[in-house]
Amino acid sequence: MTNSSNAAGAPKRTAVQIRGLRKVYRTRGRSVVGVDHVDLDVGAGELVVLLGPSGCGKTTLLRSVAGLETPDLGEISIDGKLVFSSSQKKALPPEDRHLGMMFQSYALWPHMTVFQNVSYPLTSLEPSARGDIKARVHDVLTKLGVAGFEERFPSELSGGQQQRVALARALIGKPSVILFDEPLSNVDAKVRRRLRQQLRDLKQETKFSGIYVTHDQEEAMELADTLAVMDAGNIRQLGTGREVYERPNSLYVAGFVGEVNFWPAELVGVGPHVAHARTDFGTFEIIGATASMQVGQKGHLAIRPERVNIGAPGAPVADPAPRVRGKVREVVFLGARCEVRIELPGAEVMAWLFEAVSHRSPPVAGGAVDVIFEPGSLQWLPA
Amino acid sequence: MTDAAVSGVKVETPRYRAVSIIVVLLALFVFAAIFFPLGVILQRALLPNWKPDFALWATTLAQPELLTAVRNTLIIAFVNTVISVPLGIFFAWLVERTDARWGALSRLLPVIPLLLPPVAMTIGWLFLADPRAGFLAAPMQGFFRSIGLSIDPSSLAVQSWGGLILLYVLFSVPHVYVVAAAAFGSLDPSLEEAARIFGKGRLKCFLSISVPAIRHAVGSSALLTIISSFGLYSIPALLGTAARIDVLSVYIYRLLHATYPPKIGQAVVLGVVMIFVIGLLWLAQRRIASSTGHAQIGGMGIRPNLISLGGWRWPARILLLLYVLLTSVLPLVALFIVSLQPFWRSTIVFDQLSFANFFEFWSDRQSRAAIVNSAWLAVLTTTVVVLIAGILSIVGKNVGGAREKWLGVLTKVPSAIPHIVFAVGVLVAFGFAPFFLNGTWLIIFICYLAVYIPQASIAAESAVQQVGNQLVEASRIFGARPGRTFWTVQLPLILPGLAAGWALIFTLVVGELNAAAILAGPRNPVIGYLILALFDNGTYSQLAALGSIIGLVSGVTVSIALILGRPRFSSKAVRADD
Ligand SMILES: Nc1ncnc2c1ncn2[C@@H]1O[C@H](COP(=O)(O)OP(=O)(O)OP(=O)(O)O)[C@@H](O)[C@H]1O
Ligand SMILES: [Mg+2]
Repeated sequence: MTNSSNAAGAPKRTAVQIRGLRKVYRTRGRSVVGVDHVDLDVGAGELVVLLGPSGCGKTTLLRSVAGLETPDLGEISIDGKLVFSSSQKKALPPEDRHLGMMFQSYALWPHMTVFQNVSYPLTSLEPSARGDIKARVHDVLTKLGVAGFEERFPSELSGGQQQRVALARALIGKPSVILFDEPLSNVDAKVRRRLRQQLRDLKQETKFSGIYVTHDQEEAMELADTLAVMDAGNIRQLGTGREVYERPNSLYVAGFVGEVNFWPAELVGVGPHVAHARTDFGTFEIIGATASMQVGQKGHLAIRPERVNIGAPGAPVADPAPRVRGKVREVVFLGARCEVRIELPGAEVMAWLFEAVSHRSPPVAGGAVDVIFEPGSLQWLPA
Repeated sequence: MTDAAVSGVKVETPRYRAVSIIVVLLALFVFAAIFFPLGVILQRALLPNWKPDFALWATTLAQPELLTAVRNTLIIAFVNTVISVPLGIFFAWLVERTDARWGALSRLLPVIPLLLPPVAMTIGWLFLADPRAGFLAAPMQGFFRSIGLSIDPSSLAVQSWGGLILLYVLFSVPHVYVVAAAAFGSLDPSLEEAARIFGKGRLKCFLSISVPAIRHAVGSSALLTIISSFGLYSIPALLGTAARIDVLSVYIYRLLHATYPPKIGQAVVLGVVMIFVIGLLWLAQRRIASSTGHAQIGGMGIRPNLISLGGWRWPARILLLLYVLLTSVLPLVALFIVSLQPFWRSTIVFDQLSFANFFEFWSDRQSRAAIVNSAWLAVLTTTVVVLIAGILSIVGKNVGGAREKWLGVLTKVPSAIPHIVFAVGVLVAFGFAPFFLNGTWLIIFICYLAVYIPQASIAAESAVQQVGNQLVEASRIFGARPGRTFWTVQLPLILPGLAAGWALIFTLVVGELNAAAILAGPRNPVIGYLILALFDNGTYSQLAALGSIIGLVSGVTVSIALILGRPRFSSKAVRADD
C-alpha cells in the first residue's frame, strides 16, 4: 500500500485513525497514565501537530502509532488497515506498519554511511519493490540539499546535515505516514527555521501525511494543518492553528498557545449572540455566546495581549466599547512591538502595541491610560 | 519495547517463533551448564541417595590436613583482602581522581596484569625469586650483605608465606582496581571539591570522602577478592607446595588426583561448604551495601577537576609503574630468559641461548596436542560464550523488565563460585553415568562455557547498554524484521564491546589452570594440564617456554581483537539518545 495509490483513491482516506487509545505504564507497582481516551484522525496529506508540555503523552501517542509501545485499550488504523486493536487482540509490529520516522536524536546508524542509512528502508523491502536504489537515494538527498555526502559516516556531518539525512531516510520509502518526535529540538534557532521552511516545501511537493510532536508553539503553528493540544494524556483541543489560537476552549489551551490575559469571572447574562461576564473591575460584553454558556457559570474572561487597545484618558469616545482607567506600570520595547503592563483596579493587563513602535509615541510608565475591551476581542473560557 | 503482557495483546509474530525457540534453547543450554552441576553437587553433598546422610561430612571434616588447609586459606584470603582492596582503590583514586594520571595510557596501566594469565605471572616469579636460581635472589642477598645483614637465602624465597601473599596481591589488585575505577568514574566530583574547599588535606579527602562514597564498590571488590583467594589454584599449586603451605583449592585437587580411587564425595562436600560461605558473605555485603546506600553517585557526564598531588605526583606515578613492573614486566622477562636457556639458572650465558626449548616441546606429541587443542578450545569456547552472551543480552534488552533482570542475575552466578569447585561440579554432573564425558574435550568446553559466561555477559551487557534504543527502533520502523535488525544494527554496534570481551576471555581460557587441573588428563590435555606436568617433572625451561608462549599469544590476541573491534564511528554517536 503506497502513498500514490492512496492519493488516487476517490474518497479522502484517513492516513491514521485512532480511537479510544489508552496506555498506562506500570513500573515498580506504580502506574503512570501515558495517554487516555485519545481519538485522532490524520487525513491523507495532512500534518497533525501534537503540542503540549513535557510529560503530557505526545511521545507515547506517537510511539503507539509506530508500534513501539503496545497500548492497553483502543484501536489504530493506518491507511485503512487495522494495525492495533485491543478488542481483537491484534498488534502489528512496527516493521509491518509502513511508516517513516524522524527521531529527536536522529537515530542515524553510526556504523553505516549516509547512503546505507538512507537506502535502509528500501533494502528492507522485497527485491522487486526496491526500484533503482541508487537513483532514489540520490533524488531524495538532492531534494534535501545533502547530495554528495553518500560515503560519509553520520559522525562526519554537522547537526543540520544529520537532520536532513534523517529526514531523507524517513521520506525515501514513500511511507503512509511520517512520524516526527521533536526532530528539530537539537539544532540552533536559525537552522531550525530553515528546516521548518524546507519541511513545508517538501510537504507541498510530496503530500506526505504525518504526525509531528513538539512543545514549541511557534513551530506547531507554522507546520500544523491541524493542531492537537495535549494535556495529561488527553487531547484538549483539536483544530487548525487559527481556530485553536482564536477560539481556545479552555484556559489551558489559551495559555499554551500564545500569551493571554485572563481574570476570574462569572456569567451574568447570556443572550442568543452576546453574553455578559462580570469581573472584579467591571462587567463586559462578549460576542459569540455558545450553547454551553449559562448564567451563573464561573470561568475566566480572557483577551490576547495584541487585542488590547489603549487610548489616552479622557479622549473623545468614538468607540462605544467599555473602557477601564488604568496606570501604566512598565513599558518594554521589544523591536517589533511594545509590551505594556497596565494596572487596573484589582487586576493587571498586558498589551502589545505594534503601531506604537512606528507611529505614535508609546505610553510612559506611571502615566494614566484607558484600556479598551472590544466585545469581539474578549473570550469566555469556562473553568 | 514494553511488556505486551500488560494489555494482554500479543504482537503478531508467528515468523519469529523459530528464532524465539532458538533463543530459549540457548538460554536453557547455558542455564543447564551452570545450574545442573551446582544442583548435582548440592544433592550429592546434602542428600546423598536422596536422604539426609552426614557420614560423608563426618569423614570429610575429620581429615587432620583439612584443618591446616582451611586455616591457611583463611589467612591468605584475609591478608590478601586487607592489602589488595586498599591498594586497588588507592590506585584507582590516583588514576581517576588525581593528576597522577598522564594520558589515556595511565588508565590502562593497572589493568595490564589482567592480560597476563596468573599462571604465567606465577612461573615468572618463580624464576625471579627462587632462593637458589632466582634472578633476583643473588642481587638481593648481595644488597643485604652490603648493608651488613647476613640472612638465610631461603628467607627471601618466593615459596613462602610472603611470596604467596605477594602473588595473591599482585593478582587481586587489578580486579579491585577495575571495580573501584568504574565507581570513581561515576562519582559526583563536587563531593571531593566540597571537601577540599572546607580545608581537608589530600589524604584526608581520599579517606573521608572518596572511599566512603564508593563503599559499594569497596564491598563488592572485597567480596571478589575473597572469592578468588578461596578458589585460586595456580599460585598455591606452583609456590605453596614447595613451601608446604596447603590451601583448600590444592587440597581439593589432591582429593581428586593424588589418591586412588578419587575422593569425589569429599571434594563435593568441600565445594558446597565454600559455596555456602561465599553465599553468606554475599548476603552480608548486600546488607551493608543497601543499608548504607550509595546516594552519592551522581552520574553526570562531566569531567571532574583532578585533585592536584603537588610534590606527591611523581612518587605516585612511580608507584604505578613499579606495580606494572612487578606484575607484568619482570615476570615476562624472567620467562623469556629461562625459556632461551638450556636449563634454568640464575646467570645468563649468552652463547647458550637458543629456541631449543620451543622446538623441543613442539616435537613432543603430547605437548603439541595440548597446545593445539588448547588453542582450538580457547577460540571455540570464547567465541561461543561471547556470542551466546551477546545474543542473550540483546534479547534481554528487547524483552526488558523482570525477564531482563533475571537473565542478568542468573548469568552472573558462576562468578560467585570458585572455578575449582565448579569444575568438580561439572566432573560429577557430566563425567560419569549417564554422560561419561570424563576425559573428553566436551566436558572442558561445558565447564569453560559456564565459568566464563559472567565475564562475557558483563562485556556484552555494557556494549548493549551503550547502543541507544532509538537506533534499534529506527531499524524496525524502517521495515527491518528482528533478524535483519540484529544482523545489520545490533550486532555491528556491539561488536567492538564483544571483541574486547573476547580478547579478555581468550587470555583467561588459554592460561586456565583450575578447571584444567580437575577436568583435563592425558586423554584431553590442555595447556594448564601441561603446565602442571612440566612443573611436576621439574622441566623448568620448557615451562618457561610455555609461559612465554601464553604471555605472547595473550598479548597479541588482545591487541588484534582490540584493533579489529575498534569502532569506526565516534562513541558519542552510538549513544545517540541518552
Ligand atoms: N517507559 C515508560 N515507563 C514509565 N512511564 C513512562 C514511560 N514513558 C513515558 N512515561 C510516562 O508517561 C507520561 C507521558 O510521557 P511521554 O514521553 O509521552 O511525554 P511527552 O509528552 O513526550 O514529553 P516530552 O515533551 O518531555 O518528550 C509521562 O508521565 C512519563 O513519565
Ligand atoms: Mg517526548
